[in-house]
Amino acid sequence: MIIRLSRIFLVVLAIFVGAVYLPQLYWVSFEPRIVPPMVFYSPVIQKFMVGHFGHGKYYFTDDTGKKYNRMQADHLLPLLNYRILAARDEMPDSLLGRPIDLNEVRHNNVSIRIIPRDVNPPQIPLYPLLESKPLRFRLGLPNEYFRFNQRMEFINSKTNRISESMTRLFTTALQKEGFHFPARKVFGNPTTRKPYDAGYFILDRDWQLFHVKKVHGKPYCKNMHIPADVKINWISVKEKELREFCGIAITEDNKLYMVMLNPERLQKLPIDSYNREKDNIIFMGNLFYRLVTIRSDDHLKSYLMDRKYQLLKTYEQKWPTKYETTAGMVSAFIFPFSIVLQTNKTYFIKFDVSPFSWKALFLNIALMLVAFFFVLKKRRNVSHLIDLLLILFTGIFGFIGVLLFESTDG
Amino acid sequence: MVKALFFKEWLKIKWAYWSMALLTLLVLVKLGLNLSYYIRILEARSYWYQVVVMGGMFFQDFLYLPALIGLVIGFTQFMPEINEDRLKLTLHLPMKENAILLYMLAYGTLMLAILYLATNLLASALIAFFFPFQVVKAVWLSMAPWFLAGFVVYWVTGAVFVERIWLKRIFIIAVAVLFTDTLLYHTAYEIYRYSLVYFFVLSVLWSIGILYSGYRFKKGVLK
Repeated sequence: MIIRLSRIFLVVLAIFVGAVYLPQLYWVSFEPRIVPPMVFYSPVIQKFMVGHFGHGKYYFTDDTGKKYNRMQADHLLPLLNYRILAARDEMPDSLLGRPIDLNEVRHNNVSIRIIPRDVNPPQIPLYPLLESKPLRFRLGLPNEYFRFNQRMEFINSKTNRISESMTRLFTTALQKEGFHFPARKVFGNPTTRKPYDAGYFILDRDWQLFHVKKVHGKPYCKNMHIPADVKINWISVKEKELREFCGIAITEDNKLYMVMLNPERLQKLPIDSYNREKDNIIFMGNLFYRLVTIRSDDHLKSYLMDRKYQLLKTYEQKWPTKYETTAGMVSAFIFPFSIVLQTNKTYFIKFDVSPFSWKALFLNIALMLVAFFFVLKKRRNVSHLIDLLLILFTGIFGFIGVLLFESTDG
Repeated sequence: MVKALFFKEWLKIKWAYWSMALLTLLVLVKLGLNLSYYIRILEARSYWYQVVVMGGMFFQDFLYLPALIGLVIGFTQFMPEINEDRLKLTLHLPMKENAILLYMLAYGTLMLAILYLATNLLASALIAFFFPFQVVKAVWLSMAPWFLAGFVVYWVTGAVFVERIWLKRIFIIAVAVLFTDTLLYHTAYEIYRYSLVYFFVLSVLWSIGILYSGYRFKKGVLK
């Protein structure tokens, strides 16, 4: 019995290895390049402009389908291409009745991109709290890193010991603002390569959101008093030169909010189609508009808003995924399922088992018959039956496994 | 009887075991020196930044080490058995044949576990000297699949040596190499956090693979 079991285990391992590597090998050989469209908005013609790049092409279409080449598009998207237009001396003097100042254009051009990987990545829960108003006007790394337990604990990196004075200072400041320890999550952008430091946003035990900074060595703590029904899952903190907001918050139910500054508050975005595990967020802001595109593997939806984040227009587009190409359709007939360990959606290794492909049953049955009549024909017993069932359900993987490790019976 | 069997196994692996322990110790010394060097040269706050924020895996020397140890211990334990078919004698000991093979493997597994545990404890102590517990925990979780790979390589080595047919050996090695490869991703800290349990279960399946080759050995299978 145990010997049969040891053999079944080997077959199962072979099936696992097959389901991981064979589809991978297949896609490495046949995966076509899919370049998703990019959506912009033209303040000149008041239409969405869809950029089609890749496969040696570079052109735009507007939402009525009219085609523009790259040079024409430069003029229709003047805020995006201001450098090129200015260099050619073709920048318009005014847009939508507003005189154009290049510096103002540059200052107001903001883009933020959040990919699924950026949301809840693997992280060591230790955070450097930068001085927000450095004496020499240059951001620098602090000696202390903080962590959360029943206090906001600062650890000195030089000595690897807790700095009691700072810990007390910040813990008391947080408690005064009504913080309930411990913290659920800490969000920040700990880098010195940014125009200023917005500090950290910290979610407490009761889902309250706090803004914490170090200003002249002293704590700046503020309860943002977010509504009780807003449960934040992640905040992507991105400090931009335009100090209107400093990031995008994603809630547990996949709603999106801008994290506004002066005063600190959350501004809801009118977006209903986002899924943080699958979709990219492409935020583009300029002098006149906020354009947010939610893009998944096979479709996108763009939301055009004014500067007050009121929805003006939306645009949607779909395109075929790799599974709808010829290679994809063939793969559905070959592989009954596949196991993907690493995807571009997360840093974590996951056991992503794809749904069973019924189309592969043809091949599965054929392989089962081959095994029945040619390979395993001499053995007619329980093992034989298990082998055949394995092939029926796991197809090519099971077939290889059964052939590699033949039965111990007979 | 089991005690005698274990002693026989110890006699086979003792040199390899001590050498591997020494090698591990050297790698640990290197880790300690590296840590103290970088903290001195880069300053603690920058090095912490490298590790904590940028996700610099300073312990990558341990990526293949457990697998190497498993391979060497497996070699020294099972290679003498197949020379001149000595395994036949072993299998004639007054114990059930499967039990003999399993005891042999259990002994090696135990010895590996002791070495791996000691390695982890010493590494943790070293890291805890320079970093807070959060980093130590992240290192454990990141290295766990690598040590799991060590056990898999050891179990597979046993199965491969007991197998007589070269073609079958190649099959086992091929599946095992591809499987072990899935345990050695190291793109960021703790990336196996959500899947370690599945990998653990799958890895344990290898542990009795030796019974399959043992059975074929006894039967004198020729293909």
